[in-house]
Amino acid sequence: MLGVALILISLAVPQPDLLGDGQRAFARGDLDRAEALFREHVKRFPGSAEGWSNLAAVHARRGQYAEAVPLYERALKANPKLMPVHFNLAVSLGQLKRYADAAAHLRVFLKSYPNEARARQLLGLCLMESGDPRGALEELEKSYRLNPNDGSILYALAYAHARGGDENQAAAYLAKTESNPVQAKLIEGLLLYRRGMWAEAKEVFSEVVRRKPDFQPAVAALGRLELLERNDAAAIPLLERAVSLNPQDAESAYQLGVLYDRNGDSESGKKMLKRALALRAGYGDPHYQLGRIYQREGKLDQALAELEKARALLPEQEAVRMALGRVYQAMGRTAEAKAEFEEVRRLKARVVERDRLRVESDSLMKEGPENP
Amino acid sequence: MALALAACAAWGQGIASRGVKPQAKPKASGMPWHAKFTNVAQQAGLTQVLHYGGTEKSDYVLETSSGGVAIFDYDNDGWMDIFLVVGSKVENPPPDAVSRLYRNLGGLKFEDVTRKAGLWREPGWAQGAAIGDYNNDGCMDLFVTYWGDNALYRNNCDGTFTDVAEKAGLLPSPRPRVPRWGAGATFVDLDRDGFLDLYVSNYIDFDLNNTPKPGENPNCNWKGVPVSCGPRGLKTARHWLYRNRGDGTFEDISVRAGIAKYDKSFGMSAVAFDVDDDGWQDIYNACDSTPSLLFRNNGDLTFTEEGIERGIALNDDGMEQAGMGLGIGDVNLDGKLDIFKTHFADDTHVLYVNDGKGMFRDITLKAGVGVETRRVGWGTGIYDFDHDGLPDTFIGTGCVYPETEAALPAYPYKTRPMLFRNLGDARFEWLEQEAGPAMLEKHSVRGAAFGDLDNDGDIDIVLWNRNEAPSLLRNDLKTDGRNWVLLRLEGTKSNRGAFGARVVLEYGGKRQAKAVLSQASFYSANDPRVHFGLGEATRARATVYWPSGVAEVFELEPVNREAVLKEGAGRAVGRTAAGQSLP
Repeated sequence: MLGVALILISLAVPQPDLLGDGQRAFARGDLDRAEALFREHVKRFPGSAEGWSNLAAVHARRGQYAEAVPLYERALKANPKLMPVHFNLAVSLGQLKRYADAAAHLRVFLKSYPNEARARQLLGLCLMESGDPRGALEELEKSYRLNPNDGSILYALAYAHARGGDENQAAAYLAKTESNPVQAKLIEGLLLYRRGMWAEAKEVFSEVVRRKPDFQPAVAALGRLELLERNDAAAIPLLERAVSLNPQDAESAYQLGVLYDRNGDSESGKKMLKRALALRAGYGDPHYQLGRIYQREGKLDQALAELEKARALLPEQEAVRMALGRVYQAMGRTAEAKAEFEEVRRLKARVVERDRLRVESDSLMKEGPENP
Repeated sequence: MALALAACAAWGQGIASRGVKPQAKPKASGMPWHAKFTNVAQQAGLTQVLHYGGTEKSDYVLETSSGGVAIFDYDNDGWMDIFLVVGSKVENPPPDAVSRLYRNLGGLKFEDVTRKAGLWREPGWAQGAAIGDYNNDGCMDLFVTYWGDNALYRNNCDGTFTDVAEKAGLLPSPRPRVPRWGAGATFVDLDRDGFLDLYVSNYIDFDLNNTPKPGENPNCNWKGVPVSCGPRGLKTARHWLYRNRGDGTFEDISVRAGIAKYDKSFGMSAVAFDVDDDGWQDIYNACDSTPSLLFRNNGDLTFTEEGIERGIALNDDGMEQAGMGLGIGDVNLDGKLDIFKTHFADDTHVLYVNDGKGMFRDITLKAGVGVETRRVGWGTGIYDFDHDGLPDTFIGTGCVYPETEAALPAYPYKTRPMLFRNLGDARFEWLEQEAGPAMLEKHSVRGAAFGDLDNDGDIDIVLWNRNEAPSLLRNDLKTDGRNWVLLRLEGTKSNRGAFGARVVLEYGGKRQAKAVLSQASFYSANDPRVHFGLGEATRARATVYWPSGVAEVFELEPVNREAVLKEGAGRAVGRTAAGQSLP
């Protein structure tokens, strides 16, 4: 889903002969000549951010993303204010499936270029791949608003809505896309899932996987569905495959960690949960699960550290507050435990009240305005 | 956690469930089981249909849950009688929709004495029953909750009752705009003055005329099938505490006791016992789809709610469950009272063990009681059905909604009861046909009450079957050299019925606790006599922790009989005090 958009940088030229010639060679497709010129330039001017960035672009154009990344990083080290380099670096990182790193650079870039639709789209796709469909949705919708004529974003939007948003919206976006059977099937499956039709969703996901066995989003979706249905024996190999097909998928790593742990392999569970945390910054759920494992193992200090991180990220989650309260309680920190338990009571009561208000407001909507 | 959230996002529903699958059923122990249950309700004369809401479908949550059964000896003839609540219909209630009192004639024959006993009342939405001798006259009284006016049936000691709820100060004044929904209730002596006070939980602040219809919002469907709405999405109710003044009247102390402020729960069954062994009676209230409540007695008629702190408000994942019924007993033979709580489908029932200081641990999976999750659990009890000295567990089951079976055949409306035999070390084994033909009968059970109805020493069971006649499960136990005792406790300083007393019995190297409870199971009251199976032990020693705070030892020899333990007649061994536990 990642579209590569390389932006060559035209910048102030400290050594016109080498840099300018190199850019002209690049423009006419003579990448070897361009590389030689840029290399000579950075040899003479090792502090030239432009030189490093252009050299990186040559590697990126060749598809040598692993080589391009350190060169872009060197350019940024030389001049951190070169915002376009963040974008180009993000593209290479995305190609290497380092989605969380790519997202971080895109966020920096978008601070300076908030209306850059392609960057928003790319950020959305990176967030989607790293298992943050809600964040992805936000970025993709912004991107679509900035450039409503870009048809390529419609699949991404439909997919993101189906994963983390509103199935009706997803269906609407899907209707606007041109036919792409596998993509469309995947999204159809997600819509069925969101509507509670799990058996039907499973059938669709299975069909997608049969037709395209390495289509990671479908493999992961099928694994998630098996997990939710507590078919752990089926879920584990699917999510293992999903993680192997996309090692950057933090959500699948997290879910696999939960599965390993609840099937008696806590050590593998912990490893996978830590991997999820390494892949995605600000991911509260793996901290919670790690905290629960440590709590169960009697490693209260480690449990506390993880659960306090989870609380910072998910302060409104009763389960986190509950687990934290129990750890404080076990450590004899009575006042802190009491505060957490009180918070659980408050949050639970709020859920009950919210449900009631929603029902009341539904009823009022049905009644409509009173007649004069 | 995110997994749970994702699952919930797919569809809403009105009753909490975790969406869990059953744990694997372990290999059968192969040990013989001697207690066989046979349903003898028809020949016993328990024939009245227990009307309750629609038979094919229920439009309102009001129609779905009820089921109080009380086993008690109302006429002091030595035979346990049976009271069964009967409800109503939203439209055209049948004239025989009246709660029934059946007098035990002996030999498992019963006579309907409802009218003769003065208990005939116009059809209404009766819910649960609690027993207790609130005026200490030696005759057991009966409290019945309603969606509507609750009833306090004072036993006139002449075979008749009089509803004195209003006179006793137990009805709201002025009357609320919509009726209160009295649910669980329990008599309990909270201030150790020898008089039973009364706790009444309320389920929903329910207005029949302003409740959404099935399918109207996410709380009105189950697995995509439109069903009656609630409890989620409806207004929670508050709970009530009444102090017995000792002159036949009660005083509402809900606010000053600190009970009234807990008004964000859907209260169901209530039990009262000394949870933390500090000598003061506490109240545990199972709540539906909200955290269950433990009101810990501060000793001054005020209470601190500590359900979450003590581990019995939520499941191990911090999620609320559909708390329905409560079984109280000592599953691991440590002399402390444990709790078994029943729940909705796709969830496990939960077994909490008490560490003796009122802190509980969920051992459901370790105990092996999570092996079935399709059946909704209601009435439950922890009793030694086969007299091997280890208390077993029974669960009455039945789906909430009569109308979902066609779309969801995996979740039938009528289901079999469940019996878990205790293998020792708090490990349980699920028995089905091994436990007799009644275990294969399918009904939509709600309440269940446990007691020795034929005075043969073993525990029989009465099941409240929605819109059917009840079941009477006669226990045909081949004793096989196993022994038992049945203890009738009589308070002198404590309330006369000794409700809240805990008995710790030592027998054959074992030590087991049981309590005298005014309400347990689902909205029901069990035989107030305390029953123990003894295995091969031929003698036992009972330490009684009376609600007055005194502890006393009684030597029990011979066994295989009913013994009366009167407060002050044994050998006093100590006095409980706040924060101390007696040996």
